[in-house]
Amino acid sequence: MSPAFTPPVRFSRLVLKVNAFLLVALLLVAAFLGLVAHKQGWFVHQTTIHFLTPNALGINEGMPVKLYGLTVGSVRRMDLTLGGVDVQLSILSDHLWRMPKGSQAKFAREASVVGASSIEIIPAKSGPPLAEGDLIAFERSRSLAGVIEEIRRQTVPAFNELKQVLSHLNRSSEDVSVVLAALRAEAERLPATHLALQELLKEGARTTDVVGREASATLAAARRASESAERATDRVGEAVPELAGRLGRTLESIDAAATELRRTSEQAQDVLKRTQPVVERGESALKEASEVMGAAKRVWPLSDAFTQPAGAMLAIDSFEANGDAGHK
Amino acid sequence: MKPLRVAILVVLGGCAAPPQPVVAPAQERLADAGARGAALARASDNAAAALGFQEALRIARTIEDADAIAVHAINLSIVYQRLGHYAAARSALGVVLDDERRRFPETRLVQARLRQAILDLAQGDAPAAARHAGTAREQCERIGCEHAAAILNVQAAAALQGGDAQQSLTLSLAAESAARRRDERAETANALRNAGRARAALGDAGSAIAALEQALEIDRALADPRKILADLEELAHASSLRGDAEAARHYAERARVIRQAAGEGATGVGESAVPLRR
Repeated sequence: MSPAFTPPVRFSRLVLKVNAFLLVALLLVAAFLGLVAHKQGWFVHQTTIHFLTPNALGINEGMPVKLYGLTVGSVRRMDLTLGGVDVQLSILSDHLWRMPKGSQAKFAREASVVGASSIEIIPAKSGPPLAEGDLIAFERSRSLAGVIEEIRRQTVPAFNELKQVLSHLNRSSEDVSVVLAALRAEAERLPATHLALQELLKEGARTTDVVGREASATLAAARRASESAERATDRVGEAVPELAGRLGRTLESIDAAATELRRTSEQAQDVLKRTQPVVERGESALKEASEVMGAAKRVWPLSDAFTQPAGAMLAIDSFEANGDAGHK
Repeated sequence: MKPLRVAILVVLGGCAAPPQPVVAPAQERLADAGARGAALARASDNAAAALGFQEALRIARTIEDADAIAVHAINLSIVYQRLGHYAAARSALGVVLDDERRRFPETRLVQARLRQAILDLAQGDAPAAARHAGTAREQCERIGCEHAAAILNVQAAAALQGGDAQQSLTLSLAAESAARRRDERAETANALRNAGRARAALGDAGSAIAALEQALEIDRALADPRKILADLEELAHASSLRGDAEAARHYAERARVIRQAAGEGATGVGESAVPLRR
C-alpha cells in the first residue's frame, strides 16, 4: 500500500493565494485601463461636430482641437466625401457652450509657422451652442510655403522695379554720387523744417489755449490756407480784440513755416529733377526712365520719397556763360 | 501665430499701392510738352526743344501754374541761347523776372537771375553779369539754394573777363569748395577750369595746368565733349605759357581731333551735332 500524498507545507492554501494574486492583478489591470480611459476622456461626454475641407493635408486623426489655445477635443475621424474630406471633431461637451453656432475651425500651428499643428476653433460672437453633428466652416491657414509664396508674389514686382531703378542709376555711375549727395544734402535740411513745424504747432497750441475754441478753428483754417487764415484773423480780431495781436503773430509764424516747407519742397523737386538726367539719354531713354520712376514712386518704401516735379527742368550750367553758343 | 499675421499684414499693407491720383488733362499735357522739350534739348535738337517748351509755357499760363511757367521760361532761355537767339532768351527770362504780379518760387527767381548773368557774360557784358550774379548770390544765400557754386563760377568768369584775375581765382576756389560740398562734379570742373584760367592769367602756369588737368579728368568722366575741348585748349595755352611746346602741341592735337569728330557728327557722319564752343 502506497502512502497518501501530502502537499508540502509551504503550498498550503495555494488556491486561495493564486486566486488572490489573480484578483489583485485584475484590479491593477482594471485600474490601468480606467486610468487610460480617464486620460482618453472615455468617461467624459463628448460631442461630435464636423467640417468639410477640399484638402485635409496636414490634418491627422487624434490631432488636438483647441479653443483659445486650450485643448478641448481632438480629430476623431476623417472620411472621404464627394466634396473632399469630412473631418469629425470630438469636443468635450463641457466646453461646447463656448462655441456658438457659426463658429469656425481653422488649421493652425502653435508656434507661428513651424510649430505643432492643431485645429483651432474660432468661436462666433453669440448664438446657441453647437450641437451633436453640426457642420462648421473650415478655414485652412496658409502653410509656411504658402506664406513665403504670398510674400514673394507681393514683393518680387516691387524688388524688380527697384532693381530697374538701381540698374539705371548704375548705368550712369558717374552721376549716382551726385544724386545721392544731393539727396543727402536735402535730407539734412529736413530737421530744420521739422523744427519750424514744431514751433508752429507749439505756437498754435499756446494761442489755442488762450483764444479758445474760436481761435482753434481759426488756426485750423490757417493751416489749410493762408488766405482763409487772414480772414479768420480779422474775425477773431473783431470778436476778441485784445487777443488779435497774438493771433496775428501766430499766423505770421505759420506763414513763415509754410514758406520754409514750400521752399524745402521746391528744393526736393529740384533734386528729383536732377535725377532724371541720369537716366534720360534721348527720347527712348526718357520714356523708359519715366516708367521706372513712375514705378518707383508707387513702390513702398520709396513712394513717400517722391514728389511730383513741376516739369522737366534743364540743368543750369555756368559753362554756358563761356561764350557764343554757335550751334543750332 | 498672431504676431506673424500682424507682421504679414503690415508688410503687405506697406506693399499695397494707394490709388493713383487723377492727373488733370492740362497737367498731363504740360508734363508731356515739358518732357518732350527736355528730351529734344538733351539730344541737341534745340529748335524742336524750343517748340516743346513754348507749348509747355503756354499750357502753364492757361492753368496759372507759376512754378511751371518759371521752369519753362528758364528752359526756353537755355535753348534760345544755344540757338544764338539772345534777345529771345532774355525775353523768356523776362516772363519770370519782370512779372511783379505773379509770385514765383524764390528758387525760380534765383535760377532766372543766374541765367540772366550767364546770358550777360556770354555776350561779353561782364559788369552786368557780375551785378546779376551778385543779386542771385544774395537771394541764394538767403534761401540756401543749390546754385551757389554755379553763381560763384559765373562771378569768377565775370571777374576774369573784367581783368581781375586775383578776384577770379578767389571766387573760383570758393566755387570749387561749394561744388565739392554738394558733390556737384560739373560745377567742380567748371570751378577748376576757371581757377586754371585765373592762375594762367596770373602767370602761374604750373598751378594752372594742375587745376586744368583735374577739370579735364572730371569732364572726361562726365563725357561732355564741349568741356573736354575747353579744358584741352586751356591746357595747350597754359603749357605754352610754361614754355612746354611739346605738351602744348599734344593738347592742341587732342583738341583738334575732338573738334573734327564733332564736325563730322554735325554733318551726319557720326552722332548728332556736338555743341562745341568757347
